Amino acid sequence: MHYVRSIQVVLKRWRIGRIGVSIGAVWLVWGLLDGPLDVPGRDSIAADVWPLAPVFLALAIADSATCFSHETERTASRSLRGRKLAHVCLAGASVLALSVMTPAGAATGVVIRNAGFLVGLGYLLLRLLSRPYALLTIAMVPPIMWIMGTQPPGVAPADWAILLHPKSSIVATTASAAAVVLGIATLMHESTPQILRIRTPFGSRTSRP
Amino acid sequence: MMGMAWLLFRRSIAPFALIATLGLMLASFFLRPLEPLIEMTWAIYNFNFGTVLLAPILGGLAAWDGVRLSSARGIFVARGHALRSVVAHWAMGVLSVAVSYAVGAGLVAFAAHNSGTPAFPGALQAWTIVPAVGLLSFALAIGYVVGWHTSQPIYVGVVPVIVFSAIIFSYTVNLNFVRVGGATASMVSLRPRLDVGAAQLVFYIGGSVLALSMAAGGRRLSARAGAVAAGLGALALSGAFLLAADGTLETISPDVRCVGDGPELCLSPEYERFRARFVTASGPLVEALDLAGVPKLERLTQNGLDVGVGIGFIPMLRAIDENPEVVVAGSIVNAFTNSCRSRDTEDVWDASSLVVRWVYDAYSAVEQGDAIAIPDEVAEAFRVIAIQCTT
Repeated sequence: MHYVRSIQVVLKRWRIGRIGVSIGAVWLVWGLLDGPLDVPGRDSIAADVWPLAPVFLALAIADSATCFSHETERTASRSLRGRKLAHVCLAGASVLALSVMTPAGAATGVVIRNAGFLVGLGYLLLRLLSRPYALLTIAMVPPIMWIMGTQPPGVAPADWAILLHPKSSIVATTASAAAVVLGIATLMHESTPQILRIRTPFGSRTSRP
Repeated sequence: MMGMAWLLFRRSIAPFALIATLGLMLASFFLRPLEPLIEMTWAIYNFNFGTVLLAPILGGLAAWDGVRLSSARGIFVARGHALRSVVAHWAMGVLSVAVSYAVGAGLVAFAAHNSGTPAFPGALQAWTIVPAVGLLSFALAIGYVVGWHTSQPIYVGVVPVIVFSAIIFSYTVNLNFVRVGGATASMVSLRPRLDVGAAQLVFYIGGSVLALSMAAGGRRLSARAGAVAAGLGALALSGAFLLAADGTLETISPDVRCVGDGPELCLSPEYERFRARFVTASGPLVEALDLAGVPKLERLTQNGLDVGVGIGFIPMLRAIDENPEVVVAGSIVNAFTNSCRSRDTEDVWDASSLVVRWVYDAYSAVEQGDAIAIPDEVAEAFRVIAIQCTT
C-alpha cells in the first residue's frame, strides 16, 4: 500500500487541497454574480468581474509550485523534470475544471484564456521574483486591469487590459499563449535567474547582528 | 528609543510602504483623466480613490510581514511580546503610509493650484485624507493578523483579492464604511460630510484594534478582552451610524457668480476662468433655438439646488480644454429634459432623444466652423418638450 502513502505526500506537498478550494472560490464568485443573492448593480459589474475570478486558481497554482524550491522535492529520487511536467498537467486539469463550470452568459474560451494567462504568469513570476512579490503581483493584475483599464459603458477596454477583452481578441489570445509558454519554460528551466532576490521588502532579518 | 524606532522602520515593511504609497497614489491620480484638477475638492477626493488599489497592496505586504513575524512566534509568545511586536510593526507601517499619503495629497493640491484653480485646500478638504489613511491602516491590520495567524505565504495574494473585492462591493452597494473617495463628475455643489468621515475613522480604528488584539497569543487575556470589547463597541456604533447615513457627501449651494442674460451664466469661482469660452460656445445654439421659436433659456448654473423650468444645471465639465461646446450643449439639453415633469411619457422621451442627438451633431458642426441648422422635426421636438414642460 505504499502508493497510498505517496499520493498522500503529493497531496500535502503540492497543496492540492488548496487548489481545490481555489476552484471552489471561483465557482462561488461566479455563483454569487449569477445566482439568487440580490447584488445591487450586479448587471453593471458582473460582465467585468467574471473574467477576473480565475485569479484565485492562479494564486493556488503558484503557491503549489513553490514546492519545487523545497529540499524534499529537490532531493527526491524521481526526475524533477517529470514532476514539474506533472504539475503543469495538474494546472491544465484545473483550468479545464474551471472551464466546465463557466457560468451562463460567460464564454468558455475567455475562461480558459484568462486562467491560462494568470497561471502562466504565476509560473513565470515565481521564478523571476521572490515569493511574496510574485503572489502580490499576480493578485494585483486583475484589480489594476479593471480599475485602470475599463472605459465608460459601451467602449472597449484598454489594449493592455487583456483579461477584459472579448473572446475574439487576438492580442489577449497571443498574450495568454505567450504567458503559458514562458511560464512553463521558466518552470522547467533549472537556472532561471531570480531578478528580485531580496526575501523581505527592505533589509533582512539576518543581514545585521 | 530613536534607535529602536529606526531599527523597526528598517526591518518592517515601512520603507516599502512609504515608496509604494507615494508612487501608487500619484500614478493612479495622474494616469487618469485630469479634470479633477479644476476643483480642489474634486482633486483631493479623487486622489483618495487610489486607496482602491493601495489598500489591497498594503494588505498583502502586511500579510507578508505577519508571516515573517510568525516565524518567531514561539519566542514572542514565550516572552509575552507577541501583541507588542505585531502592533509595533503595524504602527510603523501606518506612520510611513500617513506621511507618504499627506505628501502625495499635497502634491496633487499643488498641481491643482498650479493649473489655475484658485485657493488651496480648506480644512474640510484636507480632512478627507484622514479617513483614507484610516482605511489603509485597517487594511494593514487585517494583513498583519492574517499573516501572523496563518503563517502561509499564499495569503500575501489572497488578502489583496479579498480587500479589493470588499472595497468594490461597498462601492456597488453604497456601503459608506469601506470606501473613501472617487468622483467621475464635478463636485461643485457637493461637500464631504464631516460626521461621516469621523464615523469612518472610528470604524477603521475600531476594526484595527479588534484585528490586532486577535494577534495576542499566550498570556494577558484580560487586556485582550478589553481591546476586543472596545473594538467591537467602536465598530458597532460607527457602523450603525454609517449604515443610517445617507451618503458621504452633502449638497450645498455653491457660491456662483451670475453674468449676462439669455441665458444668464452662473459659475463657481473655479470655473470663472472658462466663462468666455462658455459664452462663445453657447451663442450659436441659443441663437438657433431662438430662430426656431423655442422658449428662451433663463439660466445655466452650477448651483445644484437651483434647477427649475428653463434653468440648466452644468453638471460636469469633462475634457474642458478640448470642447467646452459639448459641456454647454449637454447643459442646455438638460435644461429641457431634466426640468420636464412629464418626461416619462413616450412622445416627450422620443422628442428628448431626438434633441440630444441633434445637439451633439450640431456641435460637431460648430467645431468645423459650419452654421447650425435646425431641421423641422427637431424644431417640432423642441416644441413638444416645451409644451409638456410648461403646462
